[in-house]
Amino acid sequence: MRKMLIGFAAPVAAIVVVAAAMLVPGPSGSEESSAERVPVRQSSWVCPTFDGVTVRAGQLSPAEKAEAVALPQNQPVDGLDDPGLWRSVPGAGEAVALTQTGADSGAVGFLAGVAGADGDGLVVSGCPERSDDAWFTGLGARDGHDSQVVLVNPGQQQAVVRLSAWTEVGEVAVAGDESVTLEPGEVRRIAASELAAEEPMLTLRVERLRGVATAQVLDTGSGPVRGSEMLTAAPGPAKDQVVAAAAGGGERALLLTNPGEDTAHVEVSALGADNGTYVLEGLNNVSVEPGAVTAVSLPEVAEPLRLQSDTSVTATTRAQTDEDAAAGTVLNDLDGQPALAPVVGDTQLTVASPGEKATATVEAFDAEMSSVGQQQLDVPAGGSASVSAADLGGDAAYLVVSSDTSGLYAQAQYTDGAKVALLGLTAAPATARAPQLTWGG
Amino acid sequence: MPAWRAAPPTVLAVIVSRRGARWLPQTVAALGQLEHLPSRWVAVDVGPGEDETGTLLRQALGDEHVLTAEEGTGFGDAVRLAIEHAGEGAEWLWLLHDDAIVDPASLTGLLDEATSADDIAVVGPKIREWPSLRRILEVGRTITGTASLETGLEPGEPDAGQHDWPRDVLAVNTAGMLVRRDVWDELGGLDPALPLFFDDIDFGWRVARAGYRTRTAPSAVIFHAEAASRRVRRRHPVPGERRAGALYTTLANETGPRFWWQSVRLLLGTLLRMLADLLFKDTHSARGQLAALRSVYCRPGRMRAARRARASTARVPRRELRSLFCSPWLPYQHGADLLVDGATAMVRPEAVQTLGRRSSSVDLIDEESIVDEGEPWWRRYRWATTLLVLTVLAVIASRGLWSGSVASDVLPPSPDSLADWWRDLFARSAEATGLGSAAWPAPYLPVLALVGLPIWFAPGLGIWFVMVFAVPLAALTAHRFGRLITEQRAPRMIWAVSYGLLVVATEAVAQGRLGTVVALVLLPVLANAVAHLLIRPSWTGAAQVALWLAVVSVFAPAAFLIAVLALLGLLPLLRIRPTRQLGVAVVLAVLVAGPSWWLRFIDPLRWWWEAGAPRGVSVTPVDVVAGLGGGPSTAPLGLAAAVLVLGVLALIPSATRTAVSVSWVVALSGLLIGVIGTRIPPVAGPDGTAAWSGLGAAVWVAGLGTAILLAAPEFARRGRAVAVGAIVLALVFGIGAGAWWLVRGTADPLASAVEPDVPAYLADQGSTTLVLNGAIDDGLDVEVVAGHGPHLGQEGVRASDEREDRFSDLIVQLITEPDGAAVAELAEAGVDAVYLPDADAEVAQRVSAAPGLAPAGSDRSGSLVWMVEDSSGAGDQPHASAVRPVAVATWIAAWLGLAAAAVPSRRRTSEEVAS
Repeated sequence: MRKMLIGFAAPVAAIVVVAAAMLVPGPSGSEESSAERVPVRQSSWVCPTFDGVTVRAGQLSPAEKAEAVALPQNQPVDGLDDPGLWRSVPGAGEAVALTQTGADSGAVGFLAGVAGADGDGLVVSGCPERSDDAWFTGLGARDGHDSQVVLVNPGQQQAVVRLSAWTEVGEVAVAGDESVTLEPGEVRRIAASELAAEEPMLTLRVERLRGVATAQVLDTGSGPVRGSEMLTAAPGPAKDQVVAAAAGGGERALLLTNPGEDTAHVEVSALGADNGTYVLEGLNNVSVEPGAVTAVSLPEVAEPLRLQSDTSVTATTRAQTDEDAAAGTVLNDLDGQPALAPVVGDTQLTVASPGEKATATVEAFDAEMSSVGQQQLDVPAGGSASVSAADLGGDAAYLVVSSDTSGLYAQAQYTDGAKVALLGLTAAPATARAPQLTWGG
Repeated sequence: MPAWRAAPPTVLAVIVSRRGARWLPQTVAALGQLEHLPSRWVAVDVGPGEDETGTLLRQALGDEHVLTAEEGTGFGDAVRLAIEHAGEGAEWLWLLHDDAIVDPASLTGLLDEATSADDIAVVGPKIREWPSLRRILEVGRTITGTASLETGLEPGEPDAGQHDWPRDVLAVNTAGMLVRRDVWDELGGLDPALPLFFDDIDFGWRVARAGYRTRTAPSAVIFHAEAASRRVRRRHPVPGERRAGALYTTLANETGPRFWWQSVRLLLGTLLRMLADLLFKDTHSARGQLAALRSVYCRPGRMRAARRARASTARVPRRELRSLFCSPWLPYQHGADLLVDGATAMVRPEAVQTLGRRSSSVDLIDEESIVDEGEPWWRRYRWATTLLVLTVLAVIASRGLWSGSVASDVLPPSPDSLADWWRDLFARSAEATGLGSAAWPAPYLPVLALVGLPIWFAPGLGIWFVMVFAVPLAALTAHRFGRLITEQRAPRMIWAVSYGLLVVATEAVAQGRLGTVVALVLLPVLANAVAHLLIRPSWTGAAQVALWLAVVSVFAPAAFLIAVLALLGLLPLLRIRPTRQLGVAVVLAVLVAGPSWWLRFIDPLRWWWEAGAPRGVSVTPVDVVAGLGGGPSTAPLGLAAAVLVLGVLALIPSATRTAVSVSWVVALSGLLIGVIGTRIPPVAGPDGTAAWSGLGAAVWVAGLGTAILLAAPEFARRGRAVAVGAIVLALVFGIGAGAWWLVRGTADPLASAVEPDVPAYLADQGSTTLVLNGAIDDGLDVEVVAGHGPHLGQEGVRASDEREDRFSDLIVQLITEPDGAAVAELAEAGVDAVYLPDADAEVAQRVSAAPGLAPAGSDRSGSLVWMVEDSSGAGDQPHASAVRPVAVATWIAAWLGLAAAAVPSRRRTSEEVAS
């Protein structure tokens, strides 16, 4: 009997073992991002300088040390070395490069002011740490419209970038070498006319091949395109993206570039403040020929746009007033990280959420980095919410937008009389996404 | 009619007897039957009074023909006494032993040959075995270069007249030797320094050097009991007397440079023999070797006198005697024969025609001896034929792997020379890990380094052999074990072949899972050893269990868990109390496995890390139940279904239920370990995979297969229908797996060679390359590859956790803040290049921004390479303490010691009387 029990217990034991194992979760791979954020100990940025435009430096939290130099001579720049303040100094040299040390500091730099000698328009722009693959849509070299590409090498070694261009008729070869070598500290300014003469509408791609380099474009004009605006680099063509758009009157256009090999069909929606996402009339299916740059008129909208297409495209909005132009470029997901915007004149901050409903906090700080007021923005799903800096505190030097959720985008619109500027906000570099590491072997 | 018969020469027959009462009655009776009688008889009773020898001799020959000699008198001296007693007058001396029966025509035959030429001084008969009377013992003898007696005959060779022609030889046995009296006197007879052994060789050698001939006379036959050689005569043996005689004979007779060469050669050779005796735990023989050396080498005066005496009678140069000696290669041929014999014993056919070799040991698992000479060879040798077929199938299935080397992404290539493995063992810093490590070598490396010694310059050949011929090898060991558990030949062969095919059905071979392959080949050997230890506990048996358990465990640590679990289940089931020997065996296995293996007690995930890279597979518990290890293209899921069904049905017959339950316990042990493996991540990713569980799956199916084998007789008793059904089901797995194996082949991903993980130019430059695979959001797989990457054995060494963590922080810094500091640290760590095999744009952008990294070309599409501009080359390599090499030597010595302890003791003849 005992033998029989033992004997037939064996298959039962086998079943129990397997059944128990099936209940235990196996080592499955995660479908969600396994990246985690790590504090950034040192960050840097580079701002090219223009007449009448100031360089503003700030941070999320006070840092330990900040060093600013004017390029290409590497001369120290006074007034930017206190990482516990919001600083503003006139431009020095060809560009100003700042390196700030301190964990979680989140150092940021901006250009702000009226570019008196360059279109006499209002410009407000962020200063990048580096440009890996920068796309600029809306350059021109005709009818008084002249864009200026500014390439800076803030590093200690040579940097090499490659330039590519697209026009209304497709991709064109840039004049001269497509590869540009920048010596350490060199600031190279290239007029759009030097790249593609007499082109009314040009899209430029700047790929960094080697070393560290930044690319920015100052768009100026005195003809149909009037005033000045700094174009912030778009990260690259995509099928679903949010583009900044300026409120107010004047001519409006959406410039689309399709660098692919298939015709793109783009649906243009606005992330409305009240009704959520709505497709703009007549823009539910904008065709963009492969390799071409196309402009379509935009109705008056006060919110960021959402572009969804079957083929990756990149885009810029342009709002033209009598005196000045504002360009809205592709916005970056804040990914739950705080972002800063300077307060320049009448500053209107808009936060959009193309996805879920979200809440964001906008807090205003003075130059001493003391809070002067804050407001919570309830962003409807697929919509946007705005706040004016003036409503937060009269003496605000900068605004900080923060939210715990990802999928939020923010833009700031600046108005100074008839002069306008548009800034797309990017997360301050207090933390960086770091991959989970697995040791093979 | 020969001329001598008209005037027969005078012959003095001398019988020397030493406690020969056991044989004398027949010996003396045979002398009376001689066709031609000697002229005179003299018998010498050595050591009189010990038994009835003297009485028997006197009764047969008369008192006046019998002498006595004191105990210890040598054969030569005894003959000398007899000659003195007989006086002058005899032309020939006929020397006889008390344990040799003469054929009636023996003296006639000897005289026929002796008188056929004037220069013939010595004639010897054909000697056959007594008492069997059929086997031929010798027809002349000589000595090898290693000072061993050589008769030129196969052991146990039957006498069918194949040597029946007279010929010149170096020497003949003194038993029946007919020697010319004048030559005897001229050479001084047998050397008194050789009282028992090699006196005849020495005498023959001197005869030849003096210009005389020694002939064999096969028409003269005597039957010899070889009482002294076989140690069946009651006497007090002198330790090493036989070896001493051999050494003395060679060195006393060799001349010129050969003497010096042989002096050194025999000294070293005897020392080696002594070591071999110690290995076989035969301390008595080892002492004998030492005594022989002492006896010959420590008495230079005696040797000088012997050489002088021989020089005085030598008239013929040594080189003219070349034809009388055997080939210099003969000793080595004998060594090779021994190896072949060992291998043959492993594949011994079911029905073997014995050659009657005398064996001092009893095979516990003897074969049936049914021989039908009329059947074709493939029917007579069914198991050997099956093995041959499996081997041929293995060759066919291994198409694409015929280069003699194998590798895969889990099986690193073997090094070019065994020196690399020995260097890895004793290195204090394992630079091949890329990151550098001072960790202990892989646990299986000592085994590879020791076993690979015969193939020093091609160690990969051994790995290739194991992988390509895994099926026949596993079948071979399984069949050997099968003899222990069943006497039924056909089921046993089906079972053994099915077991062999498990190695490929689990995909272990195709993936390059060397650990599982080695374990599955050796597990039957381990089971055999355990069974013997449980049946008959002994310390040698314990050492055998420890050795095989250790070997299996270092190659596949999960096998240790399976074995221990199985033992813990078996002992209560069989109501066996665990013996001390079993406990000691397990402890010894753990101890000898080494420090890198012991880490598994701290980090249990490593139990599933076997030899090779610990890369995971996609596998579920259901796969394990089906006997599959997981992976890209395992065998069809249902192949083992029949085994599962029959395994459960095997529990039904009560007569075999206990034995079947034992198999089920083993199977459950494998299932449990295999299933656990499917729930844990592998040591080296990739993410989302599980540890390799093929070994557990194979043991599970093998256990069920064994249950079926044990229940097979009961199935057969339940009627023809049941038996046929069971046979059909039992064949499903073997035929299915075999067909699948043949169609699929052994290769893929196993290949003759694998591309290095880095571009060829980086590998060729010996660069240390940081390899990053993946994306920021999905995670990065990090590897630091030195040169071409690790060879087999080196993959078992990983950098310390602290070092990996430190380097992980550095990589995160490189990705998140690509500044000069990160690159400088890379350079300090010895990294020469950064390689993205499948470059993710974001990772590439971040890495490329780091100053100090120069873009370089890559030979693979979609990949990117950067060179570290200021790489320091060597990097900061951790080093183990200076004691490490000593500790490793101790570790290896422990392996050797365990292996020596596992060698079965040599058995000595029971009738020998210790001195």
